[in-house]
Amino acid sequence: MIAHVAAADERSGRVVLWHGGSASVSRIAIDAAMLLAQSFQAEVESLYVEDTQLFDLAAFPFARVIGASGGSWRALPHETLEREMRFAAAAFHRQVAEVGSDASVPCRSRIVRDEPLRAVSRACAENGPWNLVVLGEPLTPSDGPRLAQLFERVRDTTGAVITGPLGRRSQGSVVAVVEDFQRLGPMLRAAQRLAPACGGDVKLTLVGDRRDELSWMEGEARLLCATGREDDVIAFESVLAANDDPAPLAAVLQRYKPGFALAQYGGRLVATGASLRPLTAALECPLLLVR
Amino acid sequence: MFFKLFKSDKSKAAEAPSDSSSSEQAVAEKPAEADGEPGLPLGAYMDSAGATVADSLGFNTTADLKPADGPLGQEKAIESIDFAAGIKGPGYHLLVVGPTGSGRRTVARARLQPAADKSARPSDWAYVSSFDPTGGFRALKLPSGTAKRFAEMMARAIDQLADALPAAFTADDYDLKRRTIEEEFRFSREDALESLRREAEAQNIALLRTPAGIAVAPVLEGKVVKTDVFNSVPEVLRREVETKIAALEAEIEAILTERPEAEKERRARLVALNEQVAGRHVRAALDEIKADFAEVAGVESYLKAAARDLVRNAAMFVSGATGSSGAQAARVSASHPSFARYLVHVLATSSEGSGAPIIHEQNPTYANLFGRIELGTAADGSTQVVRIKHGALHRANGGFLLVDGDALIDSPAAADALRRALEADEIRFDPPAGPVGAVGDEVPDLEPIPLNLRLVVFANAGTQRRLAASFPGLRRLLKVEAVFDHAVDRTKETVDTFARIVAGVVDKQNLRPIDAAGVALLIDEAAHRAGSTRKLSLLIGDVIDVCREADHWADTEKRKTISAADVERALKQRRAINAAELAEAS
Repeated sequence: MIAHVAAADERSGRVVLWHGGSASVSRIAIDAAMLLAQSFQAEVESLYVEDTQLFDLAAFPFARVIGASGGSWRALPHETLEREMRFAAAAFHRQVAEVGSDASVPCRSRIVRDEPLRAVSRACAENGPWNLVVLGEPLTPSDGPRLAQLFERVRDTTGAVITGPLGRRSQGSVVAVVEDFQRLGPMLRAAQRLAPACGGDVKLTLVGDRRDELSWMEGEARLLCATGREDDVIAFESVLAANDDPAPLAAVLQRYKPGFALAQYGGRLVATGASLRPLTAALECPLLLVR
Repeated sequence: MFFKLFKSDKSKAAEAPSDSSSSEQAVAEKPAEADGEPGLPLGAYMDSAGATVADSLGFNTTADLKPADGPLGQEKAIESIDFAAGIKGPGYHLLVVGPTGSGRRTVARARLQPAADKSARPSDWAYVSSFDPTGGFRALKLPSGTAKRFAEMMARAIDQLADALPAAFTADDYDLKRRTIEEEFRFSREDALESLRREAEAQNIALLRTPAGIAVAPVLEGKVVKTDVFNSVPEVLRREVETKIAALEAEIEAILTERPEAEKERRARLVALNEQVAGRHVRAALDEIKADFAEVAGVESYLKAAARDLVRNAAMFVSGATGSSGAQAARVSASHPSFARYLVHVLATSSEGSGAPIIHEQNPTYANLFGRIELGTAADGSTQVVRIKHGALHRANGGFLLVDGDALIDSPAAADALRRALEADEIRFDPPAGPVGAVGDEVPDLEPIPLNLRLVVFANAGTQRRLAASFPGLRRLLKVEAVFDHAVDRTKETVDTFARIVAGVVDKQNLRPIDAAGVALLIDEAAHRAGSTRKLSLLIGDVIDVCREADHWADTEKRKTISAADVERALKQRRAINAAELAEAS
């Protein structure tokens, strides 16, 4: 499965719903995994990774842990860590299974004890390269480097779906933010496949740093859309972005209130390794970042 | 026990032809002569045997008479009642003394009514929540006849908010703003953690996420150091790392838990947002009431307090968001107990065209006089007022309160409380027992309501004495006394009036007309009950019963008019009943 070259006769990929072992789970991320699986006739594999580094830490006598909302430090022995991970994994898998059952999406679950990105990479390699990784935990502004590592180290994937702490919606329009004309066709088709499951139309946002470039892109996009089905409703918007500021694109996501969004990883909206603050402050829906 | 056997042969009179054409004048002059007291207007219409001569009464049946509803005599008593009804100023409460059946209640009410009609309609009163921590209620004085409208408008406003607020608080805009505040608060915490993370990394220490929260570990080239590697370094270095970790843990703990200023700011911003969203709807809902009652003292401050409370508790109107999108919320009914504190409890109101009220409280218990509070349990388990019911004092305020002395004596707590209320000129709710649903002493404070009424107590001689003995304070407040006589002199005028009163009874009870002979028997009965042929008893209570029973016998005989025989039969029956009662009593 791949977002930008997906076709009906291709070998089906998987949606790998990855939980990295923190205390939080994003329900919107689980919904996004199901929407993708429905749209691309794929299955969902929920992957809980028991981070081996935490076990290395637990071996120290001074290993301690404190709740994310405060409290006091308590010891973190190996057994406790293992038990907590087991409970967290069971809860995660149960939640995914329930949502999958409601959405009639086949789901598998797996617990792996490994270094997290290596575990995801291996999971994707098993049935690659048409996988999509959905991050099961909402991203924080400081997760930019983590996301960069994901795109760098997990090769057998066409993209990753992220959610932010303000995630609240997975139904509505599908907004595709296209910064590179080469990706217009695949992203448009991916948006069109997602739109029925999301219950909305497609909105195409073209981004360029010159007016003539934007006009040309829009013309090509309209030509591309004219060959599609007549009942496809596509709205166009052009955003002139003279610099790398992600704010105008984040504002587009806020304004449209989409149920799903697509963008290019490494572009203006999500620059490689940059702070995710502008995005997480605006993102209310799942965002599929394509390579 | 009045119906003793009459000495004279009434049956003769009953059988006598009712020939009204016979000499009325001759018989009318007879009574004085018969008693040997010429010139005195006593013994009117009476023959030498002391019996009333039907022919002399001047009518065939009561249908010929203009009905009267009394009173007969009682001039002094009426004068006292009129005085008490008309005198200005507080304190002139009235004691009406007279035997049962003397018509004292009917007369008093009839004499008070014109005074009440002439008086201005009293103001309405309602209790509303004070919205302070005491949970008390303030009394709101409203223009006559407007309290119910005020209460209805307030209920409509709450109903309107029950629709508007859930929609406002589940709207996308509100949710985004609220979560933005929350996230900014969280971001600031994460910024601090991120800064700490970078600082730690520089010291080869990492902050790790675990299923239970955050942990701190020594790292080397981005990986957590294995214990064997760590143990292989000199102890001094190990101690140094452990010290750094301990210091970082302290800083993390401070970031996560000790941020009172940020927390305070977060709360303040959320409150401001809620006030902004809820305030707009609350103001819109209350604006109409504010405009309609702008001139009424106290209403504006009440509405301000209510608005503040509504804004502060706007979350009550939303039972809870559901679903991951959080966009749906169930509507809470306006009649939900949660909204009980916005109820307006109408204590007194009057209708258009009415004057001062005249309220007769037949069972003057504390609750019936001072009202009662019904308590329920709020959602948070606390006790709350669900209803404040008015008492007779509230309804009679500005007018007249009529109570029976006997009933008052039977409710000593109520009598004492009534005295205190009259002395203080205020209705203060201080029940001798807890209100319905009360637990412990959780009775809310009700602001006293100014009291301005005239109390009228009905008593017979015995009750009057008991009242004075048991409740001297209350008795002293009854400054005006109206004493009803039990009999009047028998004159032509009083006999005529008596006959018209009988006509009035017939008219009111929708009975057959009574012929003159029947009326004559009733007059003789009244004289007998007065103990003298020169008197007429004023205890007309039983006359009504006799008339109704006679009507029954006339109906049995299919007569269109009640005859003397019917009256006599009714009287005999009543005498038999009274004799049996006497025997039983003895």
